Amino acid sequence: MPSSLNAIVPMACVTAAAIAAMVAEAFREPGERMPIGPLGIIGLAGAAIASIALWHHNATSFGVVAADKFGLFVTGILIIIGVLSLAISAPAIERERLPQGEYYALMLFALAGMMLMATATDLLVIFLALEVLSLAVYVLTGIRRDSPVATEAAFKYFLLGAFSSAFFLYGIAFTYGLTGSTRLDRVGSLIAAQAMAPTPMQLIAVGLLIVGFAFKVSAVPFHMWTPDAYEGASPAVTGFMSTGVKAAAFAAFFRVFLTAFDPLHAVWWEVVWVMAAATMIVGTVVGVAQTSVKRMLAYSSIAHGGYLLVALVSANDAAKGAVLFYLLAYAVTNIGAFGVITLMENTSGDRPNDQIRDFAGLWNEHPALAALMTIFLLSLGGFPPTAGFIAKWYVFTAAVNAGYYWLAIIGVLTSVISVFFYLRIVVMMYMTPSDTPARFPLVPRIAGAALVVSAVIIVYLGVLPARVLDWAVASISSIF
Amino acid sequence: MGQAIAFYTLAAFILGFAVLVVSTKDTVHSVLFLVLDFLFVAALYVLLGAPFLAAIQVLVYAGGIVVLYLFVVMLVNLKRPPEAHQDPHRRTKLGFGLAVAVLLELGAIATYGMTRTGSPLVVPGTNGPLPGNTEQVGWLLYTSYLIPFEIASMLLLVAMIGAIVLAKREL
Amino acid sequence: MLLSAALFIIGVIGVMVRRNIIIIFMSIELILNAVNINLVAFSAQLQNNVGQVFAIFVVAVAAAEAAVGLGIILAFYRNKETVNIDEMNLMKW
Repeated sequence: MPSSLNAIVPMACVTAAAIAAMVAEAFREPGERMPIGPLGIIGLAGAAIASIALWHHNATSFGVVAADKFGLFVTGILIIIGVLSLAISAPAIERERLPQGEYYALMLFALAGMMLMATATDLLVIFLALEVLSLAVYVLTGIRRDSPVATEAAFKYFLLGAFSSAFFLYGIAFTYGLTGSTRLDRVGSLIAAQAMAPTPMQLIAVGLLIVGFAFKVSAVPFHMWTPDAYEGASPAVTGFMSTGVKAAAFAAFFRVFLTAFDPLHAVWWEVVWVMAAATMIVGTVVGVAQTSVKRMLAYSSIAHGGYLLVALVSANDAAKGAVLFYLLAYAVTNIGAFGVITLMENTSGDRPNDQIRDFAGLWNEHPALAALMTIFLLSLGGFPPTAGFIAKWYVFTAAVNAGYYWLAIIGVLTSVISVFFYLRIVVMMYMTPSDTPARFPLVPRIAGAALVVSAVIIVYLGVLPARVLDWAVASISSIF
Repeated sequence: MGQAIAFYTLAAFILGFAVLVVSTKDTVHSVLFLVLDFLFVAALYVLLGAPFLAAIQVLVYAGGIVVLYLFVVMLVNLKRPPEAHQDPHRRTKLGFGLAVAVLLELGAIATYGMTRTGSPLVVPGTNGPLPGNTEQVGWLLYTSYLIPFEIASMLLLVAMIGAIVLAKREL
Repeated sequence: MLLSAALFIIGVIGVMVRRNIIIIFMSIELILNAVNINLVAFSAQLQNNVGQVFAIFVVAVAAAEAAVGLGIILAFYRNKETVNIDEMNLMKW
């Protein structure tokens, strides 16, 4: 194999698995059961091996895809997200009679797109990867085709997503017009070579790109689609998209703004500052008012996006390492939380089982599930022995070191408020007796194992963060 | 000079049809205006020295995408008069505000264009060794942009799967 | 450049103002066309064909987006029998 293709081997593995899933589905007899999910896990394992093999090589393909350590670290996060999502999807597919071949194939294609987005060093590739993952996720959102809520969610998500892609694209067009190239390194050096006073063209390009990315990471004021899409989608899909899309989009956001547009940091930091503050505040305050757990977690994920933006504003070395750690912690935690919802949701009733009061008495019915959910919620809220605490700690430390005291203060305050709504569910689970017993379906073994694994990762990251953090710092230092 | 006249004529047509697309009440008419708009954009591409892209524009947009739109318009068959019960003031203000904002942007570009003398940032042309627009574009596509090209094929596959999954009645 | 910006504005206004989702999609197509004009204009100005290559990819993306978007419209229409955006009210806040 020519060495110029090395950098895309991880994505190629995942794509091959996706195509294999399609083929398997095509040859499946009606009613025959096939282990299509494990196919995906094999592909992801291949991608993981390839990533580890590439770790020290800094391979690039055609100058548009670079498997540097930053990209590979995010790829690793995405592989974890992928394995966990595939594992918790199985019961949902079974229960809702989703087309499983297509479901897995789309999820794997989305993962391949995310990996490309995390490793791309060319705006064109970033855009195409963004489209691959977005299209796959739009369809996954609406894959419960008979459900009005799901199709409406898919529609809203699609409309705003397409709209934001257009903005993003327009920003790229201006960047191209400015510099004659779409390669990030060339764009960066040309912008740096320019006069200190930013031109209107630069401002327009940066502004449009910020809008495009802000939509994808659901930063306020571009967050309107998030709660609807998260609520309408099947919870396994929600867990996948709230973490995978966010991880990939943030990876690209960081790469673009800290390499190509780093010379313009003085211009964009104020905008991102305001966005970060607004995102944290809105995500938290509106989250408190929710009665649906899925919507509450949607707002919580908006708030977490805000914390990540804080790190982007800070843009110092500590922040860059913290971001990767935060993405990992957040991804594992959020998938776990949505995994619990997946297992609880029973569609036999007239409504999905996702209101906060549905969690009443979970401790009596399913002590293990309740304990896991507690770990996830505590980590989301940032309690000390969990990964969420360490992640937030590093992000806020970075903000303080960079001199953004107000952002750190807002972050801490909103974290404290957010604890309230996470604890509300915990209280529900332990203190309130259930009025309708035995509603919760049995926990399938694979999905249960996935949840236990994510809980273990959370506690590990919370207790012994040093090692992973070292990796994160090492990988970030390779590109910026 | 002749080129400038041609450009402004085409521009006027493009904008005029775009306004019609957005403002017509009847969806089918709107789609037809969209075709015309795309055709004029294709003509503009020829004028700007991109004949290959112009051909693609005609084939993919006018030939493919618009037919898709027409099919869906027919399938979805609007029974009630469209937009009969819209609240006229709610979004119009927002749209107007946005229009003003983007007009300001336009002004900024215009003033910038006036004040600018030459473009210091221009990278020397990276055209391939081949003559002819189509050859050059193809050369770029299959050399430095090979990976995006493959990703685009993946994108189309995803779109195909997605459209089938969503639109088919029984799987 | 001005032309593309103007077309972009029309598309944006179309998305904001119209209530018929098919027309909203067409407005998005208009926006993508505006981007393409921009790219081709820059390409001509810079004597650099990358812009045209980029525009070809944008066309591909537009086609893919149109297919998926219209698929979603069909699925939505089958459930709700409407294409008016004001009737998307199953979820609030």
